[in-house]
Amino acid sequence: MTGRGISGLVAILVLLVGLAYYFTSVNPVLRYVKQGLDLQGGVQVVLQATKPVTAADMQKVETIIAFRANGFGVSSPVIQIQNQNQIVAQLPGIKNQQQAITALGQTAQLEFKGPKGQPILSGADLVSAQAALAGTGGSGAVINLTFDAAGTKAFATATQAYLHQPISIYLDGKNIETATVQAVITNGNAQITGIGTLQQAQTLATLLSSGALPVPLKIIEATAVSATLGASSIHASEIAGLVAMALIGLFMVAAYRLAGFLADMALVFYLMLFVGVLVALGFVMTLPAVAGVILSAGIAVDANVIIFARVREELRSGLSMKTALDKGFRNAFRAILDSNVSTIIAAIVLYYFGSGDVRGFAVTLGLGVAISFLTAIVFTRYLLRLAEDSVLVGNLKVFLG
Amino acid sequence: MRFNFDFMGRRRQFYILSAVILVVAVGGFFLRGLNLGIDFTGGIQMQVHFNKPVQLSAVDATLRKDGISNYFAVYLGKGDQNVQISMPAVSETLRAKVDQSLTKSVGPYTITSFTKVTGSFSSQVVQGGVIAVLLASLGIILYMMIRFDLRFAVAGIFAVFWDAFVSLGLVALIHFTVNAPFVAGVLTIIGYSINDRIIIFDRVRENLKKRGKESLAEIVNLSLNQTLGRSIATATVVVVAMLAILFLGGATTQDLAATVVIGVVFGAYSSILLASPIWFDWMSRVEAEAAATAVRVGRAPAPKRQALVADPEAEQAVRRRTPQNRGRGRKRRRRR
Repeated sequence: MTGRGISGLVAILVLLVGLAYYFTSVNPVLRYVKQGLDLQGGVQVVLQATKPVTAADMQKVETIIAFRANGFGVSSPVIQIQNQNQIVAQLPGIKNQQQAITALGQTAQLEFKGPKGQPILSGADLVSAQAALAGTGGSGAVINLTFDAAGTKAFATATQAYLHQPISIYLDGKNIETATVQAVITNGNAQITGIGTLQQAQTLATLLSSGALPVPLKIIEATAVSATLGASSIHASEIAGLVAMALIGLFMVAAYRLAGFLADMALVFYLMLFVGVLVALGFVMTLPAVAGVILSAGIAVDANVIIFARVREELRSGLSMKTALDKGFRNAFRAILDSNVSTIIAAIVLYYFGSGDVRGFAVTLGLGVAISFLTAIVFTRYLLRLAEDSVLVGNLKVFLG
Repeated sequence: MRFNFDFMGRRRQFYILSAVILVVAVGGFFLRGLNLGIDFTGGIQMQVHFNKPVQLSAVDATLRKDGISNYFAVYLGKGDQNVQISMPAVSETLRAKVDQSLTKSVGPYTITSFTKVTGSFSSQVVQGGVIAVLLASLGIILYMMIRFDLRFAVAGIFAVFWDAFVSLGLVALIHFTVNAPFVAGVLTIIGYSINDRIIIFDRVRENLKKRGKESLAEIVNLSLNQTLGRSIATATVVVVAMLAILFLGGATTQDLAATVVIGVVFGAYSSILLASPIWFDWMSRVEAEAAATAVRVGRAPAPKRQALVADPEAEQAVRRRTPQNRGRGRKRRRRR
C-alpha cells in the first residue's frame, strides 16, 4: 500500500488528458490526415489504352497525365499505372470536375495544316502554350503558342509558301480554326483565337503544353464527389465517432470499474498513437480505411476485455491480486496474440492481392491491430501494475466490479 | 457473471437453427438479390440541383427523347429541386447532349455528385476482392494449423463463411443499396469473425491441456461459458459504437455500420453455436475412432492424441450421455 502507484497513475492521466486536449482542440491532428476522394470530394478517373501499349508508352502517358493534373491546379494528384494498360488518376479537391474528367484523357494532338491539308507542324514542336484573354477587337480567349527551333523554321517556311492562303489548326483531327496568313512569321509565335472562356483556354493550353498522348485513352470509370457532400458526411461521421467512443468509454467503466477506466486511458493512448502513425506515413484516409480503423478499435477494446475477464477469473479462484494479474495476463496474452496475428496475416494478404479500396482497409486494419497489441500488452499492463501498487486495489469492487 | 449453459447438449437444435438462418439468407440472396448500386452494376449516376422545383415527368421525357433507355430519376429530399438520375454508361458525347437538353427543356441545374462506372471495371473490383478474401482465408487456415490444428482451422473458417453468406443474404433481404464501401463492410465482418473464433478456440485449447480427464462436452461447455462474458461485452461494445455511427454518421458511413452490426451479431452467434459444435463433433469422432483402434489392438491410443483428447472412459461417458450419437458419423456426412 503505497502512494507511488497513485501518483504514477495521476501523472499519466494528466499527461493523456493534456495530449488529448492538445491534439483535438489546440492543434487538431485529424487536420493532418489526408483524405481520399470519397471523403474530401474530387475526381477519380480510370483511363484505359484503346490499343496495345508498351511499358515505355505507359510511363509517358503517366508523366503527361500528371503534368495535366498539376496544370488543372490540383495540389496532390495521385497518378498510377495499373494492369499494364490503365491509368488511375485521383484529383482531390478539384473545382471543375466535368471538364477535368473529359480533358484528362484527351489525346490533344495539335496539327497545323496547309490549304490542301499538307502537314506543317504538330504539337511536338511546341515549347509553350499560354492562355490569355483576347485583346481589343477579339472576343473570348486565345492561346499563345511558342514553337521550338525546328517548329519556328517550319512555320516560317509555311507562312511564306502559303502567304494570303488559309492555314488550318486541328485538334485530335477536328478543325478548330482556319485563318488566312497575313504575313511571314519568323519569330516562332502563333495564336489560336476564338476559344470560349478563359477557363476553357487554360485547360486546352495545359493539354497542349503537356504534349499529345502516345496512345488514345478511353474513360472506363469516372467518379466525381462534390466537396460539399464529402464535407457534410465527414462532419457527421466525426460527431458519430466521438459519440461512439464516449459510449465505449462509459460501457468499459460500467462493466469493469477502475480497470475499465484504465482501459479507456489505454484506448486514448492507442488512438493517438494510431493517428500519429497514419499522419507520419502520409496515409490517405478513405471510407474503407475508416472501416479498418473501426474494426481495429473493436479488437483493441476486445483485448482489454479479455485481459480483465481473465484477471477476474483468477481472482475468483482465490489468487492474490499480484498473482492474478500476472497469471491473467499470461493467459490472455496467448489468445490476443493468436487472434491478432491471424488478423494481421489477413490484412497483409488483402494488401498484396486487393485493389485500391481493399488496400486502404488492409493498411488501417493491420497497423491498427499491431498498435492495439502493443498498447494492450504494454500500456494496459503497466497501468494495472501501477494500480495494483496503489491503495485503490484494496477494494476489489472498485477495481474490477 | 458466471454462466453454466449446456451448449453441446443442445447442439443439434443449434445446427438446425444455423441451417434455417442460412437457408433464409441464401434464399433472400437468390430470390430478392442484392440491391446493387452503381459501383457494381456500372452506369452513370448523378445528383443534380435545379434552380427551381421541377417535374420528374419533364426529366423523364427529356431523357427518353435523347434515346436513353433504362434511366431512373427520383427526387432527393424535399422541395422537388434535387433529382438523382441513374442511367447506363453512355458516351461522353451523348451525356453532354443530355446535359444540354435537360438545361433547355427542364431548367438550369448544377451537378452535386457525378459517378460513372463501366461494367467491366466493377466486376474486376469484385473479382479481385473475392480472390483476396479466399487467399486471406487460406493464410489464416495455415496459421491456425500451426498454432491449433486442422480441425480448429476448418471449423473456424467454415463458420467465417457462414457469417459472410448470412450477412450478404440479410443485406439482400433488407435491400439497402450496396456500393463499393459494402466490400469494406464484408471484410470487416470476416475480420471480426476470425478474431472472435480464435479467442474461444484458445480457451478450448487451454482447457484440453489443463483438464484432459474431463469429457470433451464438459471441456467445450466450460470454455464457452468462461468466454461468454467476454463475448457479450465485446459484441455489445461494437454494436453500440456502430449504432451511434448508423444514426449519427453521414450517409456514406451508414450502410457500412448497418452491415457491420449484422455481421457482429451473427459472428458472435456462430463462434459459440456453430464453430464450436462443428469442432466438437469432429473431435468426438476422431476420439471414438482412436478409442476403438486402441481396444482392437489392445493398447493405449497414440500419445499425440492422448495429449489432446480425453481418455477412453471419459469418452464412454460422453457416449452414454448422448445415446443419439450412435452412427453420428454417417449422419454428419449426410448433413454436410
